[in-house]
Amino acid sequence: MPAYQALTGLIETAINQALEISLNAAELLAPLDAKRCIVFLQEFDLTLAFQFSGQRVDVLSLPAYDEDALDALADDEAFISVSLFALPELKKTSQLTKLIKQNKLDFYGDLAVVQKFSQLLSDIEFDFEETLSAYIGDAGAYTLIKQSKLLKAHAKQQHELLMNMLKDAALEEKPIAVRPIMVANFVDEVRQLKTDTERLEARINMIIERRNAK
Amino acid sequence: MSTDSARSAEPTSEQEKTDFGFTQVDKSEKVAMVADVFHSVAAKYDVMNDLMSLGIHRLWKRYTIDCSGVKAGQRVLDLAGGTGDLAAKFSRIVGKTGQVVLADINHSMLMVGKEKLTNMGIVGNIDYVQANAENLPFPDNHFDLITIAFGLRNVTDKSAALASMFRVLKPGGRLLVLEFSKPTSEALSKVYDTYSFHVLPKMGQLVANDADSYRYLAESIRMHPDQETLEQMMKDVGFEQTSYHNLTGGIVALHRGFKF
Ligand SMILES: C[S@@+](CC[C@H](N)C(=O)[O-])C[C@H]1O[C@@H](n2cnc3c(N)ncnc32)[C@H](O)[C@@H]1O
Repeated sequence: MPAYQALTGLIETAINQALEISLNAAELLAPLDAKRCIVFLQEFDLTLAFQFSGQRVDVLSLPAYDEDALDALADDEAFISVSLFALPELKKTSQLTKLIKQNKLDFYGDLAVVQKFSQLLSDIEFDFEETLSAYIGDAGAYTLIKQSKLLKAHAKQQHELLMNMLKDAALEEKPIAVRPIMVANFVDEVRQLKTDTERLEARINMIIERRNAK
Repeated sequence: MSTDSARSAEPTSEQEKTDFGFTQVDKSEKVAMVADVFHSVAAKYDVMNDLMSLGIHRLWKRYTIDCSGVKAGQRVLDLAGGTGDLAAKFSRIVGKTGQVVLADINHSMLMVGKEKLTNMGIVGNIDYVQANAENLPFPDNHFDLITIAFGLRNVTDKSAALASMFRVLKPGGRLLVLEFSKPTSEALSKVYDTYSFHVLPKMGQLVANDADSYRYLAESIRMHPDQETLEQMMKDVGFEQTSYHNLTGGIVALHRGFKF
């Protein structure tokens, strides 16, 4: 299963659901219409694009942005590179310039896009931590945020370990060395899946028979 | 599913046969037979898609969009676009200055797509065109991106379709083919076979009251060229920098090629 797409799907659903119940969604989306905010999540090594239209936000995961891609940013695009630790602060619109000055947020392009996006996130009360927890589990999200904070206290080694683990989990498609135990486990899972599939088939047969008998 | 209307009176030679699922039929018949399948599944297509793939088709499509590189102002063709899942997203990405064409050979699928997208508020930068992939009714060098998702395996002459896509693509443009492919593991292949030949037609029977169409879908998946063969077919008509990426253990693959 493409893991990054599961994450972007989750973030997209969460933001749009929040927008749906928000009273001023149209007002928040209007100034962002046809604009794109590209967010590089440093620890995940993941580039997300938030594409705005009058009706909703689409979230894409993109290949990494290099210097050329940054140079080619269109007028209505902005790029920010941010640590997970600073993510919740993205919602504090007034803090943005401070974050940029403190080098917590690398920024290119149209600042207004980032400001409006920040405004939107804060108005709809979008919770990154909660959304991430649906993806990597509560404990994972908690650890992630906590570890990111610890990082500030120079827990570099631990952080790298955690992030590598997360990266492996997120990059499911990436070839990794397979240990015999994993193969055995995989075979078990496939066997289980086969039994489940057969059981599902039997159930469907029963439903069809019952329906035909009526 | 009825295919009687499609029967041709002309006797045809062996060379003009092609596969329709596991059955050999006259080439001239296949288009109408495929049309029958999609005509009969159109109304339930979205529900069945979610059910049959356990929702995973959404992730495969997301991956395709992530690989599209599409930007505001560009022109996109979503070929065999059916009910318009990809076209909807592309329409929002290319914005008012761009254009999306949702093309499909089947009028019923196109109409279900049009209604769905219009209800979603997607209007203004999208056109609906009934067209055969083998012979696209667009000028040369016209599109920045062409996608064909779960469509190519239904096309009678796949090479002609790929060549037609190559023609209408702009230099620098890219083609993305999302299609069922060959699972990379033997074990997964077996589970997948049980699922597609036993469970799938029954789900089709239950939900859409149409086991035949869903049996055809399963069979057509097996008859589709594998990863390497499809990549070679793309090269043969002129695509460059071709590559493919297996998704969900090769059950599906995304092929990419450029026109330079
Ligand atoms: C399985 S559906 C896929 C629809 C959509 N792309 C999706 O991914 O949900 C296949 C579509 O291919 C269309 N199709 C089949 N043969 C075609 C052809 N020769 N030219 C254009 N479209 C064709 C069918 O009408 C049908 O809508």
